[in-house]
Amino acid sequence: MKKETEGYLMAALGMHIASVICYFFDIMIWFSLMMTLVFLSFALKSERSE
Amino acid sequence: MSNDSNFEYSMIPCIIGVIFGVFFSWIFTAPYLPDLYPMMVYGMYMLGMIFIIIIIIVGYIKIDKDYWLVFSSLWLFVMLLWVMFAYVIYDGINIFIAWWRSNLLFNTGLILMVFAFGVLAFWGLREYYYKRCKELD
Repeated sequence: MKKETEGYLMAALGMHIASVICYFFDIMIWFSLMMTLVFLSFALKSERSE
Repeated sequence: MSNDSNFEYSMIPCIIGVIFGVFFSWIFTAPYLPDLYPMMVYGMYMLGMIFIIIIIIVGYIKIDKDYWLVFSSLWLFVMLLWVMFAYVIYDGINIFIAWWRSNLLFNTGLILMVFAFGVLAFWGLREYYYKRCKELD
């Protein structure tokens, strides 16, 4: 795995954790959930690129 | 977990992700924004449905059987997204909202379960990439 991919994956994990924190503090979580998918797609893209 | 993962590097984007995720989610709950929600929410609802359909089709046709757990976890995660978008749409589903909010213990368990599935998906993806990289080497 590329370093860049790992970074994107961990950023996605961070967004995922953020959504749970937001849930327990009554903050809307759709933003962090969508950003999770966005960072996952970045990870896939960076891994597949040359 | 493979030995060649570099946690020293990867913890930084994770922590930044948590901070930014909470911060911007909090910003988006500002009182002047809810007027904009219906447009955004319906758009994302449609995107979520498209995502689900694509993941199911691609999962059945293309994905290696050994990694079914990873992609079924991702699928459950997207299903949660879909439910959460419904949670944001207040008009027309007040009965659902009332049910959702009245079962606090159930909700908490559900969220933790889906959270566990999400972590599992990330873990599986990492393993998948390490294995694929070794195959490519």
